[in-house]
Amino acid sequence: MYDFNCWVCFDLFTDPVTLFCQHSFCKACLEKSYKLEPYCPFCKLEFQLPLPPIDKALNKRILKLKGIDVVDSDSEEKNNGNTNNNENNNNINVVAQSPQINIKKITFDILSLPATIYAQIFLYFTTKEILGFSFVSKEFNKIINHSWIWKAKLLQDAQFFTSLEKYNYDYKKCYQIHYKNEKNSNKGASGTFKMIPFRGHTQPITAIDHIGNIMCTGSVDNTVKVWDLTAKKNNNIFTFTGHTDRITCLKQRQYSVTSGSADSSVRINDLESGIETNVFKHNSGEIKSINYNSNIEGQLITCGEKLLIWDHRRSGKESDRMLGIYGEVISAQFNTDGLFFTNTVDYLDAWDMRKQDKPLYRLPGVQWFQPTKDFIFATTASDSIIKYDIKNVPLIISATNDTVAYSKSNSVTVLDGNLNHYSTLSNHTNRVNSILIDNSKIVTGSMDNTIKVWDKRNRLYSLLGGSNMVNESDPVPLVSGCSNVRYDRTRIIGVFNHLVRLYNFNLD
Amino acid sequence: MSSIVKLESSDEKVFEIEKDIACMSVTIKNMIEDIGESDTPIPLPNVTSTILEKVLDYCKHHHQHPSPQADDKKDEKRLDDIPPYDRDFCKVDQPTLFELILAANYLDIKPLLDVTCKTVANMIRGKTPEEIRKIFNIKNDFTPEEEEQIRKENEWCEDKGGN
Repeated sequence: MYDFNCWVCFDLFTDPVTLFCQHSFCKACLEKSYKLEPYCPFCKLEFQLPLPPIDKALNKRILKLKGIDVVDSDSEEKNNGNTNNNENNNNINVVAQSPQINIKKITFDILSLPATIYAQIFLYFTTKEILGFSFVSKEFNKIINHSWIWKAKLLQDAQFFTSLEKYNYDYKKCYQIHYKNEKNSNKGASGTFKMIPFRGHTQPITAIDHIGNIMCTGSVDNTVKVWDLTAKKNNNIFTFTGHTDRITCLKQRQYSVTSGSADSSVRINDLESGIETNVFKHNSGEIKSINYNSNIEGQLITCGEKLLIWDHRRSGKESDRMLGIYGEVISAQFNTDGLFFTNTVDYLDAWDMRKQDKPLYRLPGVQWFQPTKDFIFATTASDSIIKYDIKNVPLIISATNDTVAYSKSNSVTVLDGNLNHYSTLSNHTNRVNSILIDNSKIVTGSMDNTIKVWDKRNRLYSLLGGSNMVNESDPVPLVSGCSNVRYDRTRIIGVFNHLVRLYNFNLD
Repeated sequence: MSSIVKLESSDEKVFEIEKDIACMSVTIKNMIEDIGESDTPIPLPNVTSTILEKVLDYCKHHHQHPSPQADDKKDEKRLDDIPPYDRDFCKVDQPTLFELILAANYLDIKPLLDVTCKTVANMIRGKTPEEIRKIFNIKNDFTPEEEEQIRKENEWCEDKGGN
C-alpha cells in the first residue's frame, strides 16, 4: 500500500500535494524538504514554491482509508445505479470475490481531477477558449488559473521563453507575456515595439550573429564587438581588436565568438572573460567562412584559398587532414544533420566528415546555396533555382523544408517545397539584400532602407531603418540600406552600414 | 502465449490477465519488473473492480487490434481522430469517465489517457459557460461584479482594434 504513504515521513499522507512529476508528499513534509533542496524527494525533479494545491482526489482516498467518511458536495445517490451490472466479463476471469463491503462510493466529477490531467485536456484549446471557460464557476476558474496548465501551454508554444525567473515562475504571467509578444511581432504597428540602435563600429558591418541576448558583429574597422541586446545603456560589452584587417565572417557559440578576417587569421574570444583564447593562422588569403561541426565537439572548418580543419581547443596548429577540394571555396555550410557542403566555382560537394578523402557526391558549382535537413536549394548563374534531394543524390536565398524565398533585384519570390510558385512579394523600392524565413514569417532587408516583414503572401509591415542622408563622420557603406537581417520570435535585428538596429517587440 | 498475472482491485477482486496485456500499463510493467513474477496478486488500491474491468477490456481490444503507430506530429492537437472503438468505449456516464481518466493516469496507459482526455475536451469544446454548467451540473457562484473582474483579468487575450 505504499501508494498512500509519504516518502518523507513514511506515514499516511496528511494534506497530500502532488508535484509535476506525479509524486505525492505531505504538504508539511514537502515544505520542510524544500528548505534543504528544491527537488522532488523521490525523483529529484526540480520544483518551485508555491506548492500546488492539496490533491483533492488523493486526499479523499486518504480520508476514506483513515475511516473518515467523505461526503461529496454533489449528491452521491445518482451514481449508485451504474456499478456492478457488467456481467459480460468476457475473457477476464474474476477469480476471487470477497463479500461485498458497503463502502460509500466516492463520486468523481470534472472538478476533482489532478492538475496534470487538466493540463492535458486544456492543451486541446486555444488561449481564448480556455479563458472563456473561467466564467463557469469559481472552482472552474481556479482550475483555469492553475499554473500547470500554463506551464504545459508554455512548453508547447514557447520553449524558447527565457524569462521564467524574471516573473518568479508564474507560468500564467509568463504565458501572458509570450502571448503579447507574439501579437506585437505579428502586427508591427507603431507602439508595438521599441527600436534600439547599437552604435560603435566606425566602418561598415560585415558579419553578425546572435544567440539569446548576446550579439556579435564584425566590421571593416577590424574589430569584433559584443553587444548586450537587453541593456538600456552601454550595450557594447567587449571590443576585440586582435585582427589587423577587416572581419569577413564570424560564428557565435554559447561562450565564445570565432571570427575570420582578411588578415588570414581566425581568432576565438571568450564571451565571459573577454579574453582571446585561440588564434589560427591560415597563411592563405582571406577567410571566407567559418563552420563548426556540431557532430564533433570543437571541430572548426575554415575556408579561404584552402579549406582547413582545426581543433577549437588546441592551439594554432592546423590539422593534417584536409578535404580533397581543388580551387577556392567560396562558401561552405553544415546542414542540421551534420553533412558538410562546400561550394567552389566548379563544384558543390557534399561531405561526410568521418570520411574526408572523397566527397559523398559532387554537383555543379552554384552561386548561393542553402542546405536544409533533406534538400539543397541553390541559385545558379543562369537565374534559376535548383532543388536537390540530399537523400537521393542529391541570388540570395533562404529556405526551410517547405518554403523557399529568393530575391531578384527588388522583388522576392516565394516557392513551396516543390519549387512551385507561391507568391511574389514586390513592395521594396530598391534591391533586396537579405532574406530570412521561417515557417510563419519572411523578413527582408533592402537597399531602400527598410526591413519588411511578410507572411507568405502579404506584407505585414515595414520598419524604417534610417535615411540615405550621410553624415560626414559615417564610413562609406559597402552595401547601402539594410545589408543584413536576423530575427527571433520577439526581435528583429537589422544591419545598416556601421550600426545595428534592434526592433524589440517585448515591451515588458 | 505469455504468462498470466493477477491484479487485485481496491475492492479486493482478483483479475487474471495475460502479462503482455497487463504490461500496456507502464505502472504494472514496472511493478512486475521490480518484484518479479509471482503468484501474489498485484494490488491496485486506486482502481475499483468496475473500472479495472473496463480498463482491461480496453487493453485487450488494443492488444488484439494494435492501432498503426501514429505519426509523431506533436504540433497537431486534433480532437476529431478518435477511432470508433475508443469513441464507443468512452460513451459512459461522467463519474465513470473521470474514474477512467484517474485509472489511466495512475496505471500510466497513455493511449487510454489520451482518448479519455480528448473525450472530456470534446464535451466542453465550443460550449458557452452556461452550457458547461449544465453538462457538469455546476452552479454559477459568480456575482456580476466578480464576472466583470474576470473579464478584466482576461483582457490580454482579446484583439484590440483588430488588424
